[in-house]
Amino acid sequence: MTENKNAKTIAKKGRGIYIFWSVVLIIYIVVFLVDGSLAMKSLQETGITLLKILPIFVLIFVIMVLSNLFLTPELVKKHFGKEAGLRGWIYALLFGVLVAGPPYALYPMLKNMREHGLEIKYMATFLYNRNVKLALIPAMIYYFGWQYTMVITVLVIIFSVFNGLILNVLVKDN
Amino acid sequence: MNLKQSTIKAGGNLRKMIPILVGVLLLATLLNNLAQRYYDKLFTGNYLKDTFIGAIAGSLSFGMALTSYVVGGEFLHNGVSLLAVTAFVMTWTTVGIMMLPLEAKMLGTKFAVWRNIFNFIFAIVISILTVLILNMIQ
Repeated sequence: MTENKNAKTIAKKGRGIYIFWSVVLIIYIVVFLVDGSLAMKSLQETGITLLKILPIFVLIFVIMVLSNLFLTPELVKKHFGKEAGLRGWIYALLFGVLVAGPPYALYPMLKNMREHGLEIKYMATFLYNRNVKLALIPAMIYYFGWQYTMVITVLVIIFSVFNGLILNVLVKDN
Repeated sequence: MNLKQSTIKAGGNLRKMIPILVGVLLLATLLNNLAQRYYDKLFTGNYLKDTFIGAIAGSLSFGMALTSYVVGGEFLHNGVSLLAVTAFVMTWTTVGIMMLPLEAKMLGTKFAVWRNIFNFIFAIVISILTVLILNMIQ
């Protein structure tokens, strides 16, 4: 009975990707018929982006292998689990600010950590704090001024905690 | 878990992730190119309406955070309010409508949806607070 249910769930998940790709394809066909240059430009740019992020895939793979190897359930539970307390918040804030790269590069690692006991609140806080990008602070100051940059940085850090707390309530662990 | 098991698991996860990421990138690039044509016409001059428009435009956009600063700087130069520009920059980096399918697949649908909803709300709140605080200290 349970096996049957699991098989159905897997089949459903497998169908999802086909539906998603059908939607992408239909949208592109419609856009191509309406404005061919827009569709072609978007296809070319996607190709360029994919080439650019190819090394990131290698990095993602390495991070995934390493996280599978070293981020043991015990380690994750200790630092990012229910009993992590203040330490979990500090790690989520610090790593959120310090870790660079696109968010999708981190999803596999976070997924792995979730399976090992990473708390929702820390994950949400970590992801929100990734908006404080140390490397981009000079650029932000250049465009918007240092006062603006200071204020928004502090607000993002404060709201990242609210974000973590709220999501922790809304997304209950199974 | 040994190295072989870790590598197999990582390969499996990557295999699941890549088709979604490519699809998401195709959609995001298309929408970005389309939105860029109408950026100038998006804003109305209405303070509140523009904030909301900025937040939506940022949510639908995709790319490096630096690009949002450049575009935001251009908006400011063209007379768009700081509130609307801040909402635009904030949602550009915190809300990822185009990345939602991938985020949902990897981190769970409920988490991805709620995270994006609250990030949208927080982006507007942070924009208002930023402008208020700047008005007070300047």
